[in-house]
Amino acid sequence: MDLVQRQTIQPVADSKITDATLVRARGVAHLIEQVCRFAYEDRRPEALHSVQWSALRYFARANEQVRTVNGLAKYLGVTSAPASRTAASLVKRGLVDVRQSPRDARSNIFTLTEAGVALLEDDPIGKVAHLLAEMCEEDLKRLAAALDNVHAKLLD
Amino acid sequence: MANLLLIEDDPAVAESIIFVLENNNHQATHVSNLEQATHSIHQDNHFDAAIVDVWLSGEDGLSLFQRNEDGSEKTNLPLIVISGGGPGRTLEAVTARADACGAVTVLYKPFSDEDLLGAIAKAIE
Repeated sequence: MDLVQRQTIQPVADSKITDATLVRARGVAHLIEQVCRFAYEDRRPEALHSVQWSALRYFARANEQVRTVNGLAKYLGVTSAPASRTAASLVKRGLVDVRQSPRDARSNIFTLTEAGVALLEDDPIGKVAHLLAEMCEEDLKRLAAALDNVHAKLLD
Repeated sequence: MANLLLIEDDPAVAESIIFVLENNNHQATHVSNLEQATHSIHQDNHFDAAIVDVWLSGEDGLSLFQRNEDGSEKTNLPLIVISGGGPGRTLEAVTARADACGAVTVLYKPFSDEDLLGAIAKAIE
């Protein structure tokens, strides 16, 4: 699948990339890294890890049929064992409730508790999103296209 | 009633979605690739929303909701994304891309009829 061919980004041939451009690009890459690190800077013992935040977001927005360990595993791109551990850690913290699926007795459905919903209001990605939302719509769309392009190439 | 464009390459999934839509008084035009989707949008600019599968047999369904080279919008239809995952990217990454494209709702397969109808109601409100 060609997910790299983005029509919004015009790639520059390698031979035309100057040293100055490379230095600027390295700076941008570091800034992206700093933003990501800063988002998850809470190092208190009770703070969630980034994967736990991902799981909490998933259980908050996923349609009921897939709010399962298998659904979470597919969402995170991991096997069911680590997905199960992550879901269990959220249950243990009282952020997520678990009940048997009405469709499949072998499967459990996870739903956020009030505490989970409240914690999600402090989602570290949410803070970054609010800052990005202050950009003009056009700049935000260009940034989205550029990051999507880089992400696709990294996955290749 | 909504007039919906369904972009889905799996005939069985498309059939089941159209069944639900038509039984709930919606009108659906089904296409299975981006060329047909672009043609349909240009031919009929009265769609209320699009339901789009991300992985379309080698094509990226979300690219229809990104910009042309000249910066113009390909379409500004309200977007409902459906995905069951695909090669190379996690559903988390697909969700991020869908959100960045302005999707109204992202539904993960399998989803219920109520999930789909709720997403349509949200898209056309």
